Amino acid sequence: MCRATLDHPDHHNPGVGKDDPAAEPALHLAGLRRDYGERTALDGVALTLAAGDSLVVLGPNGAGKTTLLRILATLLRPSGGEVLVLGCSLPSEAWKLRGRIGYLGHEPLLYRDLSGRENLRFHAKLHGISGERAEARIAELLAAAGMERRADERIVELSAGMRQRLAICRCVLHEPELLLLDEPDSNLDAEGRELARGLIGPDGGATRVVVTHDPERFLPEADQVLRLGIGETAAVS
Amino acid sequence: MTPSRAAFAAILAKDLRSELRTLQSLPAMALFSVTTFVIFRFGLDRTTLSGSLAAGVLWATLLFAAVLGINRLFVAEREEGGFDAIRLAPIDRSVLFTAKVAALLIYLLTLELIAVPIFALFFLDSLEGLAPLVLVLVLADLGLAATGTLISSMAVNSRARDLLVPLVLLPLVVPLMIAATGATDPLLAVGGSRPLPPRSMYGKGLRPLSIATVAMLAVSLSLVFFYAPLDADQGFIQKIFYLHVPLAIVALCGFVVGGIFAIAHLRSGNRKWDAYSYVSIHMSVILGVAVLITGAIWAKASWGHWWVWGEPTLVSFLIVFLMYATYYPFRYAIDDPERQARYASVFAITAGAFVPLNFLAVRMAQSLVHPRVFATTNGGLPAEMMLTFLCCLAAMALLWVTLVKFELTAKSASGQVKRLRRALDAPAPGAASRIAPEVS
Repeated sequence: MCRATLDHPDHHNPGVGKDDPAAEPALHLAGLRRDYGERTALDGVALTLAAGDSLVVLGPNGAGKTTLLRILATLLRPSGGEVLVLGCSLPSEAWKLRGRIGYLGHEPLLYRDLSGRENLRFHAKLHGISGERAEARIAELLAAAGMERRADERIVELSAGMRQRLAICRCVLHEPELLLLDEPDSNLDAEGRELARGLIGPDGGATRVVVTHDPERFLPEADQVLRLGIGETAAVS
Repeated sequence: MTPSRAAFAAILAKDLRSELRTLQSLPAMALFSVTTFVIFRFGLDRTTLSGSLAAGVLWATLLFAAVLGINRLFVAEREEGGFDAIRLAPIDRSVLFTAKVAALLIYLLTLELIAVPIFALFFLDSLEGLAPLVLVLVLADLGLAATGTLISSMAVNSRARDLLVPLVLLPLVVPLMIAATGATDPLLAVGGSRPLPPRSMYGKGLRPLSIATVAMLAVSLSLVFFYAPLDADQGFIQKIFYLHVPLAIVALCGFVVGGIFAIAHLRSGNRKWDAYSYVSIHMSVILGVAVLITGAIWAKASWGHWWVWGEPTLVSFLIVFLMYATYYPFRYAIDDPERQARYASVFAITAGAFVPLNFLAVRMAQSLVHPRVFATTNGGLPAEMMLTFLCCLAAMALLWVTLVKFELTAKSASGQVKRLRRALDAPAPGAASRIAPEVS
């Protein structure tokens, strides 16, 4: 069973938006629990995150970080507790959130036998973006990720780092309000990390939840830090 | 183009593009078909086939080849994250289902473009029946694509996917295959098209009715699992509503219809109407058993009890059911057929009048437990749930009509066979020739 502790770095006031203190929080969790059969993966997670803020989630393997992210992405149902994402209660209002979330998980969600550009076109159509607008957006993202020259190669022919760059493009393609990022720097080289920062960094304006094993890299960007532990309560300074 | 249509086109185009690049399904399906035809050719030791044997060989081969494609239909979605991508997008999940049905339909038609000419080359003397066969192929493919996609979507999350698809799919498509082979048989008969046997043996319209019922059930189940939203309070178990309530409505209406046929019998004296009344009640009692079972499952999941004696809706349905359960001993306690039919009709009319009165009484009662899904002006259901419910209601009504028709046809055929046997056993010469033309 996992216990969660929320830390608020001194430079931010918890639950209060950067610009508008009265704004509705982007995330509000209270007593969140998720069970897999008899095993409890998450229990008692509680936090409130203002719109535009960044939450960094830390914890060892098996602490429930990915489970938390998939619940917020509406890909898993919570077993108990209150979950409000962008003002929508989960799981009952999950359908209202579709298209408002950018999810970057362990899998890139790209079809191996299509090229990067074809994959992005496919996702653009799913999100109702088509025609010249889609082409312009895809070209812009491919340039920002440094992938223009390899965009027409099939995914199966690309390296893991390049797939991650394309996955980041897919994640932000529809300009989501909430970014859920699971180890966003995995497989990226130094150049890739820098380019990714431009696409999914804190300057983009979206609310971010970042799961990471690299606190040094992401803590400076964090407005709040959530530590998940296995059977213990942990804290971060 | 609406977002749903654009997403449908995108998913279908993605599937076809992937298949063209990887050639993972279609070549395997085509090769399997050709190999199976070769095995049949040597296994049966025949150079030509016709009629039911030809139809059986063709459809068995096409069905097993289709299973190969159905097995792989959702593999990319499962292994490459397509399910997650579609769940994150602002589109209805039914779009994925319809796009996959369309993709599978294209695979099947392409397979048949290759397999059927080879089948004709191997086994047929005449190509005369192939042109009308196209219509049979397209209709059967539609049913197979809808059912196959449904089973594939359920099996893809199982580790035993390759085993599960044929195990679940094959029994489900038996009615479809009976219809397909039945329609193919006369087309592939020696000497070209052969007229169908007299309809009186099969029941006029029973075959298209059966196909429509299977298709409607497949569509309804697809809507239940892929289109209708999950109930916020009850979760997945609420899906049983789409089975339980339509079954109850159709069963109660069936009882009333049985009463109406009984009136026709008493007015005209024609025994045909008594048979209609009996079969209507018979099928409604069978559906009534299903209503009680599904209701008990739902009650246990929602209320924690298999049965609630204080709930008027449950008790009243049970009373109606038990009342009709006495119809059989009442009817068969009378030996004289004429009197049996007359008394049974009186029973059916009285009980049939009781059903709507009973329903109205229950609606006026103040129930605190059983939901009133049609209590409000807009039906008390969201539009998606209402559409799914209406489709399920139509499917159950079709199922009832098909079952009634089937039993009436079976009774009619049985009667004809009995008359034929009596005629053949009769010593008088010429008796058999008088009756035989009716069933030959």
